[in-house]
Amino acid sequence: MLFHTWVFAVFFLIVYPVHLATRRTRLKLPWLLFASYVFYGWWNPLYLLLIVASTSADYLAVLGMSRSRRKKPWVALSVLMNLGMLGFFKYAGFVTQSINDLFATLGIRYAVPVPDILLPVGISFFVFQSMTYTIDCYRGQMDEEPNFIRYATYVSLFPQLVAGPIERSTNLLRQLRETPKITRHDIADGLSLFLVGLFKKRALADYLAMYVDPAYTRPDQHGGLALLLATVAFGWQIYFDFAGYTDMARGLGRMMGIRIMLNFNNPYLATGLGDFWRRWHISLSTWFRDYVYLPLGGNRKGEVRTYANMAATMVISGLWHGAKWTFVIWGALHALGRVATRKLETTRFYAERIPTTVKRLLVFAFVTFAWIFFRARTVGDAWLIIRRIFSSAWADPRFPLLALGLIVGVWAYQWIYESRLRAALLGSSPVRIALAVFMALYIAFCCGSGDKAFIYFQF
Amino acid sequence: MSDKIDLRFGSNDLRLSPREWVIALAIILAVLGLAPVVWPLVEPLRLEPDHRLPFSLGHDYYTYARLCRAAASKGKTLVVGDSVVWGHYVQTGGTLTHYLNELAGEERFANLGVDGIQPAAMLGLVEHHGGAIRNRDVILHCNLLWMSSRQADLQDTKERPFSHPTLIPQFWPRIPCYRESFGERLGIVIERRLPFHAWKKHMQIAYFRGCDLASWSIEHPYDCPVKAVTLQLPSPNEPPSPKPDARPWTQQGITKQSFDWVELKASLQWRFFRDTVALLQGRGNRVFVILGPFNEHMLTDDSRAAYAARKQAVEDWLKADGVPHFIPDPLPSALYADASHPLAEGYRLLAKQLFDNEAFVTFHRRLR
Repeated sequence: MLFHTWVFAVFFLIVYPVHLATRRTRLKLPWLLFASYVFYGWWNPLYLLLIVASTSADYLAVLGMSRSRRKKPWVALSVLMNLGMLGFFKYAGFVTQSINDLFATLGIRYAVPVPDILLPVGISFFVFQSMTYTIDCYRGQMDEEPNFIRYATYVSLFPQLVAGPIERSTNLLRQLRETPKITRHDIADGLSLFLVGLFKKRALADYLAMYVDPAYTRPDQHGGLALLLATVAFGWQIYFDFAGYTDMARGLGRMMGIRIMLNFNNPYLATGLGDFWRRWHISLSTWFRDYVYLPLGGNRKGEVRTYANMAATMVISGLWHGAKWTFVIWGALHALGRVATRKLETTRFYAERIPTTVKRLLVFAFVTFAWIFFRARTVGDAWLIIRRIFSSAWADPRFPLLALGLIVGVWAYQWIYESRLRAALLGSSPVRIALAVFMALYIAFCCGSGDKAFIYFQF
Repeated sequence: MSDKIDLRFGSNDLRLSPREWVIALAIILAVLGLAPVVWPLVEPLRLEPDHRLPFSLGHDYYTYARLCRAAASKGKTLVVGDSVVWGHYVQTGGTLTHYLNELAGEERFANLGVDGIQPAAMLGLVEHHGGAIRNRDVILHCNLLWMSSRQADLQDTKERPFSHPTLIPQFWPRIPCYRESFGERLGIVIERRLPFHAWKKHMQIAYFRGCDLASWSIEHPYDCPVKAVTLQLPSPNEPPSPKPDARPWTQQGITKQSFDWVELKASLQWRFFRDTVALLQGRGNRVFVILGPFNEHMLTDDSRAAYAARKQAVEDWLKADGVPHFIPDPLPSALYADASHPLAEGYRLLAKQLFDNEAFVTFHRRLR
C-alpha cells in the first residue's frame, strides 16, 4: 500500500477517525497494531509472519534480559536472530552467487544452488528498529516494555514501517506510552508535511525517473551528456523519492499525534561529506554511528582506528542498501571520500577560504558521482556509464526543460531556506498558501495516475 | 546515544496554519471543481452536421458528456451504441443517424455511438457520463457480436485486454478476464466519480497524446505545454486508426465464420445490456432497441442457426418487458464490411427500414 494511492487514502480515512476516537482508550494500541498489520499484509500476508517473529523474539529477549543476571546472551541472541533473518532474506542469494563467481574464476566446476528468495518489503527497516530496543535495553538506555501490543505497535507502526525513519525506542516507544495530544495545529502540520512529501514524490521523483530509468537500463544507447544528466537527475530523484516518503510518514504521524524523527536536512546543501551524512538519511546514519561506529571504538582509539572504523561503517552501510557489489562500491567510495576529506574539513583553509557555494558544489559532484554505482544495475554498467560520460559524443540529451525548471526551482528554494531570505519567503502567509495551492494543483493537473513504488522499499 | 533525536518540524518545509489550510483547501477545491465546468467556455464544441465523437477522442468521456448535453439540450433523439452506430467504416455523411436525419428532414437524431463500447462499458458510459440524456428519447443499438464467443463476452478465464476497461463494473458482477488489482479498481471507482478527473483525461487525450504532462514532456523535451493546448478538437470525420478497409467483406478475403455463441442466460454482455435498458428507463428515458442487422451471410449454417436462436431470445425478452424494438432483416451481403458493420449504403437501407417499421414510426411520432 503506497501513500500516494487511492487505496491508502481510503485506508487512512478509515483508520484515522477510529484512532481519534480511541486514542484515549485501551483500544488505541490494538487498533494501531491492527491497522499497521493490514497495511503491511497488503503487500503479502505472509510477510506478517516475519514481522511477528522478529517482534516476538526481541520482546522475549528483553524479557529474558530483565529476568536474568546475564544480559549479554540475550542481546546476542536478539542481534543474531535479526541479522540472521536479514542475512537469509537479503543476502543469501548474493553470497551464493559471489561464491559461484569465485569458483568460476578459480576454475572450480561446482556451483552452489542460488536460493530464489523473495525479499520482504521494508525488512531492513523494521529489523533495525526492533534491534535498537534490545540494544538500548541492554545498555540501560531504555526500560523494558511490559506490554507486547505496545511493543509490536512500535515495530510495525504503519507510517514509517517500510522505509523508515528507523525510529529509536527511546523516542517512538515512549510516545506510544502516552495519550497522543492532537490539536488542529498538528493536523495542519501533518497536512503540510504530507503535501510537501507528495509533491516531492509525484511531481519530482517519479518525473525524473522517466528520464533516468531508460538511460540506466540501456546506457550503451545513450550519449555522454544524456548519461551525465541522468546521473544528476538520479541524485535528485532518490532524494525526492526518499525524502518525500519520509515527509509523508512524518506528516501522517503528526496527524496521529506522533512525532517521527527528522530524516533529511537539505543534504545537497552540505559543505563536507561529514556534513552530508549528518543531513542524509539521518536515522540510518545515526543508527550506524550509535550501534556500529561507536561500539567499534569510534574515534577513541587513535587516528588509524578512527579511519578504519569510519571506512568499515560506510561499507557496511553500503551493503545495508542491497546485496550487490554496486552498493559495496558505493559505500566504499563514500568511505574513501570521508577518510580523504575528514582532516581537510577541519582545516582553517577549508573552513574559511573556500566559499560555501564551492564547497556545496564539490560535495554535490562527489555524491552524484557515487550515485552512479548506487543506481547502475551492475558494476560493468557503472564503468560503462563513467566511460561514456567522458568519452562518447555529447549528442542532444533531450532533457525536458520542465524538469530542468523544477530542479532549478527546488534547488533555489533549498538555498533560500538556509539563507537570510527564508523569513521573507516563508514568513508571508500568502506565499505559503500560494505554494501549497501550487503544489496541490500541480500534482492534480500535471502528474499521471501511476503508482511507482518508492526506491527505498527494495532495501 | 550521543545526540538527542532531532524532532524538528522539517528541513525544507512549508508550514501552514489551520486557518491558512482552510483558505488553501478552499482555493484548491474551487479550482478543481470549476475547471471542468468553466472549460467549455474556453474550448467551444463546434458541432458539425451529423456530429459524432472524433475517433481519437474515443476514450474522452468528458467530451462525450458534452456531446450528450449538447444533443439533449436540442431535444434530439439520441442513438446510443458501439461502432455500428458510430460508423466505423464510414464518414459522418454515411452513418445511420445521417440517413435517419435525411429521412426526418431535419437534424433530429444525434450520434452518441462510441467505437468499441461493448455493453459492459456502455452501461458505465451511460451511468457515469450520460447523465445529461435523462428523460430523453433513446435508440439503443444491440450488437450480438459481443456475445459471439466467451472472449467477446468477457468470460475468458485468462486475463485479456479489452476496450474501455475503466467503464466496466469494477467489483460486481465479477468479470473473469478482468484481473486488475483491488487498488487499481478502487482508484477507477473513485476517479470516475470526479468530474475533474474526466476533464484531466480530456486534456491529456485531446492535447497531450493521451499522456500526462510529465510523460508528454519526456517525448517533447523542448516544447511548451501551454502551446500544445490549441483548443482545436479533432474532426468527427477523422478516420479510425488503423484506417479500416471500407470494402464489402467478401472483397477483403474474409471467409465464412463459425462463432461459438454464448447462451444468453449465461452471457455477461447480455446482462449488461439489460441493465443499460433498465438504467435508462429508470432515468425517465423512452427506449427503442434496434437489434442488428448482423451479417448473417458471413455465418456458417450452424452458426446462423445459433444466432437465430439468440435473436429470438432477445426479441422475446424485449416483448416481455414491453420495450419497443425493431429487428431488421439482414442487409444484402455486399453492404457489410464485416460481421456487424454496414457500409454507407447499408446504413441508408437500415434507416429506410426503420422509417417503414410501425413500432419505430409510433416511437418517432411520439418524440418529445
